[in-house]
Amino acid sequence: MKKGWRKIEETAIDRTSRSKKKGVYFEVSSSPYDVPEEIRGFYCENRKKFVVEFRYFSNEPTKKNDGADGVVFLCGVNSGRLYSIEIDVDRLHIGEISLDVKNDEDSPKIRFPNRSRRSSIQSSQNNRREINNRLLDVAGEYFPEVLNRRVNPTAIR
Amino acid sequence: MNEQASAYRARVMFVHSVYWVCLLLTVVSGAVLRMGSKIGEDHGFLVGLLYETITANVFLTLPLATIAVALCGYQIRQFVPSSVQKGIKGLLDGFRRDFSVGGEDDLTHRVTLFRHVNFSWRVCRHLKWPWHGCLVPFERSGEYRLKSSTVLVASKNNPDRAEGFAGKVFKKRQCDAINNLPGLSKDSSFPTIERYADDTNISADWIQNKIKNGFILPRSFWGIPVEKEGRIWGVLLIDSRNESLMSSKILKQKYRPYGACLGNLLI
Repeated sequence: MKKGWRKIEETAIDRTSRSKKKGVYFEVSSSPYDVPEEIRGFYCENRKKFVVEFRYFSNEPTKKNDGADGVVFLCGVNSGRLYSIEIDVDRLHIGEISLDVKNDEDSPKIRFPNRSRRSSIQSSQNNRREINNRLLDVAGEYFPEVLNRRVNPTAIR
Repeated sequence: MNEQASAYRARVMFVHSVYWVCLLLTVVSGAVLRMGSKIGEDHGFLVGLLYETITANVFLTLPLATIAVALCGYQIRQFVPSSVQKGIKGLLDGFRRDFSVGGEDDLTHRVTLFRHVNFSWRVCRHLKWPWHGCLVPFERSGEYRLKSSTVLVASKNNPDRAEGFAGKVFKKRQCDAINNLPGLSKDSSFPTIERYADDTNISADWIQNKIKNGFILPRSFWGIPVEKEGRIWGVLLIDSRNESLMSSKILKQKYRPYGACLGNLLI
């Protein structure tokens, strides 16, 4: 078991909205099930990939979703939560891996479980997609040398 | 707790009994129909009488017994072993102790775990529709008995019809908090009751009924969707008689270890 977990600041992902109406205070924030507690990144010698993992306090089985070239996302089967990003740094010769997620068109293609068109599930999927995109931002902040900039692959090892 | 546990055991035994009796009736009725006229007087008086009784009502008893078997079978799958129930109660008690400030009794803050079920008998009793999705109280913190006929509509097909604060949390799948709700009493004006009802996503009639029956309504709520392996299982709700609860951020931090254990216990 590889170590090196680093705590994630909850405020980096969680967006809390507060309002007041006739003296009553309302507060809506992300469910703690959606917000990972920790993050780690390492180069996996066996798979020859750089892996960024997120740890949540509740687990579920995951499935692979192919993203952009050489990037694989591991998402929760039921929730669509982002659990891991695998980047094939060797195959890509690390020209540049950019996970710029400023808008939907640029964002990596994370496929979410397409269970139904029900509105509640749709809205929860939109919410999840937003959180997953924030997670990619967080991953970029923690591992800028891999995710945002040109790097020498040997330096990662 | 003991009283609650024994009531729960009695319910489990009753449903199991109905299930087995109806199953036996279905099998016997089916067998009698199949054998038909092969059963005659030479099989004895008792068998003949049984045959006569069953064949006289078979077109009523067979479908009814089959439906009862299906419904009881569904209900049996919903039952949770008492040891698991006890463990869940322990977690709710622990969570309540964790966020309560010293000196507050069990009634000041209540932690209730609601379970989402596709069907509940209580929905029939309240004559509510749709019947395919509601939240029913599953367990509550404290030494008090959870004898509640409350049922909140929370359909996955029609989330906009979700009822109550728990229904609102279920619909949004987010952590939700309300503080500083007006304190209601028998003297409260209807606009105040209406405002409370609007904020908590419940009907004003229901609140008026509660006030009439002497219930003290909470002044703050905090709710969180409870998940099991990435799927929503229900809602955990704190209702408090205090004007405000701890901040949502602190409550979420305190909830994490309990939520992790809860995920392993839930069925």
